This record gives sequence, structure tokens and C-alpha cells, in this order.
Amino acid sequence: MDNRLRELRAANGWSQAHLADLVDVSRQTVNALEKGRYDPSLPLAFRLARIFSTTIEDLFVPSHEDLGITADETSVH
Amino acid sequence: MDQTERGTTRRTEAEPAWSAGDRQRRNAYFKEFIPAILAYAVILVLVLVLVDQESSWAWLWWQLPILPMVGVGVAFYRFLRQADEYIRTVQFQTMAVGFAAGIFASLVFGFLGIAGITTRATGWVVFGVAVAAWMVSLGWVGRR
Repeated sequence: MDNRLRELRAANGWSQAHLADLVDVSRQTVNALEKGRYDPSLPLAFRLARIFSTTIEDLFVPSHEDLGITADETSVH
Repeated sequence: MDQTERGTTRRTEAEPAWSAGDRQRRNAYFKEFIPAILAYAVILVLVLVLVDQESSWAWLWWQLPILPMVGVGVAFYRFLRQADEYIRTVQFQTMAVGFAAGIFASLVFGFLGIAGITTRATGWVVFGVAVAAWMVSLGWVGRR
């Protein structure tokens, strides 16, 4: 799942370590989230959205696969 | 963070490797882990030096190093309890790799035993394989 974490963090001038402390996770976790290697739990996603004063939908962008949309359905749309 | 040619990231001077929370959790872990592992090392050396291997009680003395390892286990358990969801997931996944490697190694030694090939070090080899697989997979995840 793609996300805007890096973009919003940079816009705020925060380091990964600072963001990690704000949402009470490790810096390694923020790094994994930004690289899209890890999708957060709902509580963590809500915490991140709150920190950036936005919504989960604005922060995280699901792929077609995440939404369960097949290649055939994609071509129809 | 900079993007490298391979798409991986590297930290810049301005990007600290540890957050304040990371340091707090790491220090809490080391505060319990280091005394326990030092106690293990001391007891191991004492048992190696002092215990008469021919004694009928040698088996009991050789269980003593296990006691401080309980402390190591407790320290790691508390580390996992304090860790966030990603760190916990990574730890469980890599421990599963270690467990699978240990099971595989014990199976190999089991069949070697059936074939009449036995060794006194079987337990240590299985332990070593499991821990090595755990650590290697942990290192691999950490480098991604």
C-alpha cells in the first residue's frame, strides 16, 4: 500500500525519529512504513492520520490488489 | 533520508538512527539483559573450572548456567512487550525462521541417529542452527 508519510513528514520538517516518538513507535517502523514494506494496524494508522491532521484515506493509498480489484475489472473501468 | 540508485534509503547526518523512545526501550532491555548474560558467563566459567566431570552430581551443576538464562528470557519477553507492532512482527517472523531451521536440524540429526551416527553435540548444533538462522534473518530484514 502506498502512502504519503514521507511527503507529509518532510513538509513538517520532521525526522523519522521525531515522527516515531510522536506516534510511539521505533524509527525502524517509520522507515518500513515509508518504504511501503509494512502496512500499519488501524490504531497506528489513526494515530498517524491524527498527527498529520488528516484522514487515513488521505494518508494511505490502496492498490487495486489491496482493494481486491482484478486486472479484468481494472480494464472495464 | 536520501534515495540511492537501488531505491533503498540511507540516513543523512541530520537523521538520527535512534529516536528517544528507541533509546529508552534499548536501555531498559540492556539493563536487564547485560547482568543476566554476565551472570551466565561467570557461572559457565565457574562450572567449567570447578566441577569434577566424574562426579555423580556433575549433571546437576551443569544445569546452573540455565538459571541466569531465565533472566535473559525475561528481558527479551519484556523487550517484546514494549516493542511496537512492526518490531514485534519482524521478531516473530524471524524467530519462526529460527524455529524451522532448528526443527530441520533436529530432523537431520534424528535420521543420522537412526543410521547409527550420533554425537554428544547434537543439542548444541540444533541450538546453534536455530539461533544462527534467527539472527541471519533478523539481519537480513534489518538491511532491507
